[in-house]
Amino acid sequence: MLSFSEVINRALNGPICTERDFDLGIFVPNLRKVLSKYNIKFDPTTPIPSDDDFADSVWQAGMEFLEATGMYCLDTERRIIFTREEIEGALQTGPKGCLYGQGKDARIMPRRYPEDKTPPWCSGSGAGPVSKEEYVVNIVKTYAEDALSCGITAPALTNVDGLPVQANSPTAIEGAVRTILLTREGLRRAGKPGLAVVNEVSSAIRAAEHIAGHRFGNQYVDHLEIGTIHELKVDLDALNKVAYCESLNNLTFAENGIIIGGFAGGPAGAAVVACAYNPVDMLVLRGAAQHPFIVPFEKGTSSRRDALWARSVSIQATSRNSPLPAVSPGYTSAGPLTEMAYYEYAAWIITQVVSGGSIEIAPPYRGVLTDHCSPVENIFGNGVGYAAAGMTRDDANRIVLALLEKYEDKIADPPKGKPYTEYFDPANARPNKACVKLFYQMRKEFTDEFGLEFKNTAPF
Amino acid sequence: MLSFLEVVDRALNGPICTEKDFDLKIFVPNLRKVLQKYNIKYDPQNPVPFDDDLADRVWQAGIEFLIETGLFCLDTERRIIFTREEIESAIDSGPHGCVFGEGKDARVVPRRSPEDKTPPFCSVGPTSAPVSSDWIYLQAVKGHVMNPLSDALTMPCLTVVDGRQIVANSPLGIEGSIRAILLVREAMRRAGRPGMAVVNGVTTASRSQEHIAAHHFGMRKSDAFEIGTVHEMKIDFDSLNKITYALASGTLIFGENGLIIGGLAGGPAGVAVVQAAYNPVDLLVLRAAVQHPFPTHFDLVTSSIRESIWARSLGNQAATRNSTLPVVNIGYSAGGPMTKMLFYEHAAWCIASVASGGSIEVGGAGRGVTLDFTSPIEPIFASEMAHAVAGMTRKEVNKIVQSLLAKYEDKIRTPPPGKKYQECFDATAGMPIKEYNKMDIEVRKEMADEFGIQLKNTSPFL
Repeated sequence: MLSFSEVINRALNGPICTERDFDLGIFVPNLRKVLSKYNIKFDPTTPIPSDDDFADSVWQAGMEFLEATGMYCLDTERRIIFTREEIEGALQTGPKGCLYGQGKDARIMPRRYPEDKTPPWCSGSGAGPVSKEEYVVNIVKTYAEDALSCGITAPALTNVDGLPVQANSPTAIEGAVRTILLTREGLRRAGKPGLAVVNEVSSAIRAAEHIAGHRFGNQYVDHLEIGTIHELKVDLDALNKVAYCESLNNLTFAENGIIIGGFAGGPAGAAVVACAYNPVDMLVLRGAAQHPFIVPFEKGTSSRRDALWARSVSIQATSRNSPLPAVSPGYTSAGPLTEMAYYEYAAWIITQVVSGGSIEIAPPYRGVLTDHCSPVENIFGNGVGYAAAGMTRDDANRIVLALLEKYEDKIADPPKGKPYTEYFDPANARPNKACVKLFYQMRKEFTDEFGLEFKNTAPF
Repeated sequence: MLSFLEVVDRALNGPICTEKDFDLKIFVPNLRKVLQKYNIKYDPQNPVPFDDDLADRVWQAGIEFLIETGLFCLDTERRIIFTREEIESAIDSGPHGCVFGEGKDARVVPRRSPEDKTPPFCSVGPTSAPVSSDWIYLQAVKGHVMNPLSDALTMPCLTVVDGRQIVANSPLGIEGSIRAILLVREAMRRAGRPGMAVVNGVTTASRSQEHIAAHHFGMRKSDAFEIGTVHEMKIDFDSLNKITYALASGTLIFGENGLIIGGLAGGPAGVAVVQAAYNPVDLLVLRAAVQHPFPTHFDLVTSSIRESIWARSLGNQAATRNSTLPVVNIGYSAGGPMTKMLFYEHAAWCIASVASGGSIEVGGAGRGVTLDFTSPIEPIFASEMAHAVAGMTRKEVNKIVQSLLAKYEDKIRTPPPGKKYQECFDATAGMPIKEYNKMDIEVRKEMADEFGIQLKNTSPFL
C-alpha cells in the first residue's frame, strides 16, 4: 500500500484545482457517468436489496469513480489522485481483524459478509451532547455494562465549568481532556476498564483537541475518529490527526459523512460514493474500520427509506469486495423513551447487519438535543444487532418494510421524547421503572411480531 | 491569582475591539502617556543602565500601561483586561524557583536581582535555528548539551522530513515535531545528560497540535513548552490551547515575549516598558514559570545591538526588582559560527542580561535564520562569561559592554556569515576543527587581558 508520506506529498503537490471545479467539473459529472454506465437506480420498494450482482456493480462503479475523481485537499486546493493499481494495492494489504480494547475487554473487529452469522461489532452509549459531567460517567457506565457492547462511542460534553465548549479554543482542549477522563471513569465503574473508546475524543473538533484528549485516555485502547469532508475531501487538520495516529500505532475509525441530496445526489449516488470512500479510508485516513454514515440533507436521520437503501447497497458492495470492515453509526428522528425510536433503531440496525456491516448506535433525535441521550435504546440496539446476524436479506427486508410503516409518516415531525433526568435516576445511574418497562415491552413486541431472539444481557 | 478559565472567559467575552483600534487607539497612546509621565528615555551612552529609580519607574509605567491596555485576543477580537489588584495578586502568588529537568540534571531557575551573585540559569542550544538533517540535528544537540554549565537545552528546528520540506499545520509538521523531540532525547542520552530539560518544546512545531503530539513522544513534565504572546500585547487561541494542555499535563511553560524595536512599542524606551508589562501577563495568561523576553530590532533582527541591550537590561532590572517571576533572556547575534564577532556579541548581551538580574538562553548565530549555522562553541564561552559576571556591578559591566560593542557594532548590518556546523566541526566525531579551538582560546585570552575576566575551563572541546 502507498505510504502515508506519499499521500501527503500528493496533498501538497498534486494537480491544483479550485473547490468549485472539483465539485461541479469533476465530482458530479464523473458520478453521473458511472451511475449511468452501471445502471444503478434507487428502488424504494426494497430497502434491503438481495442482488449480489447489483452490489458488485455498485462496487465497480465506486472504484471507477474514485480512480477518475481522486480526493480533494481543502487547504492546498490540490487533488490526491490514485491509480487503479494503488487502490487495489490498498484493498489487498489493508487491515483486517484488528483488536480493539485491552485485557478481558479486548474485542476483534470482524470482517462480515451479507447474511453473515458472525455477530456484529456493537459500539455506542446513546450520548450526543451532554450538559453535566455526572451524566457522561453514568451514560457510559450503563452502556458499558451490557455484555454485548464491544466499544464506547463517548458523549460530547457541552461545557466546562459552565463555559460553553468552543471549537479551537482552550475550552475545547479542556473539554476534550475532561470528556475522556470522565469516559474512562465510567468504564472503570462498569468494570470494563479495557473497553475501547472508538470516537476519541467526541468533545474535540480540531487536531490539537483530539491529540490533547488522547494523551489523557488510554493510548493503547482509545482510538481517534477521523473524518473526510463532504464529499471526497479532506483537510490538513484531519491529516494531522492521521499523522499522529500513525506515529502512535493507533487504530483509526475512518468516518465518511455522505449526504443524500448533496453532491452525491440521490441514494444511488450516495451508495457509489460510500464505496469509493472505502479505499480512501485505507489510503488516506489509514483507517482500521470504515465508518460511513449516509444521511439525508434535510432530516439528518439514518432510518429514512432512501438512507436505508443506500446504506444496505453500499455495505453489501464493500463487505463483498473489501477487507476493511464497515461500522456504521445511525441516528433516529424520535427522541428517547418513545416507541418510534425503538422502531427506527431496529430498522437501520437490521439493515446494516444483514448487509455485512457492524453498528455504532448513535443518539436519538438526530443527536442534536442536549441531554436527550439514552443508553437504554442503545442496549436494545445491541440485542437487535445480535438477533439479526445470520438473517437473510429477504427476511430482513420484510421486517424493515413493516417497521417503516410504523414510523415513516412521522419522520417529518417526530416525538422529542424525554430528557435524561426524566427517565434515569441521576443518583444511582439506573433507568426508572417506566423506562425499563418500555424496554422489555419493545423486546417482547419484536420477538412476537418478527421472531427476534434477544439475549438477556442488559444490566437492569 | 485569577484562574486560567477566568482568563479564557475574558478572551471569549471581554470588550470587543478591532485589532487596528487596539494597536493605534489603545496601545500606542497608552504607551506614549506612561513614557511621558515617568520620563523614560533611551540613553545610548549607557547600554547597561545602573539607576534603580529608573528601573522602578519603568516597572510602574509597565503596570499602569497594562491596566489601561490589557491584552488583545486575535481570534475573538476582544480585550482581556486586568485590574491592578489582579496583577498584584499574580505577582504575589506566581511561581518561583521552579525545577527544570530530572535526576542529576535537574536545575532550579533562580530568582535573581540586578548585580546578584547567584549564577544565572544557562539554557544553551541552537535556539530554534534551522537544521537540514536528522544527523546534523543529533550531533549539534549533543555538542550543546555537553556544555557542563548548560542547565537546559533550547532545541533546533528540523526543516525536512525524509527530504520533504516541513510545512506548518500539515502532517509533516506533526512528524517533524515528533522526530525532533526523539532526536533530542537520544542526543542527551549520548551526551550523558538524559535528565536535562528542554525549554523550548517543541521547536519544529508551530501549531498547537504539533506541540501536543510531540509532547507525547518525549517531553516530560520537567521540560517546558515555549508559548508566546504575539507582537504586541496580543494572544491567539492556538497559544491559549497550548497552555490549556500544558496545565492539564502539568508541564512547565517558558512565557515568550517577542518585542520589536521599531514596531508598535516604538524605540527602546517603549520596548523596556512593554517588556515590564509582559511580566504579569506571562503569569496570568501564559501561566509561565519563567518570563522569556527578547527585544529585537525590526530591521537588524539581532539582540546584540545597543538599543536592544539597553531595552532588555532596563526591562530586566524593572522586572527582577519588582516581580517574583524569573527572567531568562533569549538572544540572537548577527555573526555566524567561528567568527570572533559572534563571541563578542554573545558576550555583550549575555553579561548585560546577567548583571541586570536575568538568566540567559544563548546559541542563536547568524540571526538564527541560516540552515546549519549553529555551533556549541560560542554558547559554551557565553555561559562561562555569564557565570563570570554574576555579582559584578552594572557600572563595570556597562564598561565591558561598551568595549565589546566597539568591536562589532559597525559590522552589524553586514556581519561575517561564519561556517556551517559541518564545516567548523568534524560531524562524525562531533569535535570542532583545530582552527576553531584556536579562535576560542584567543578570545578567552582577550577577555582576561582586556577585562580581567578569567574564564573557567569547562569546555569539553578544549
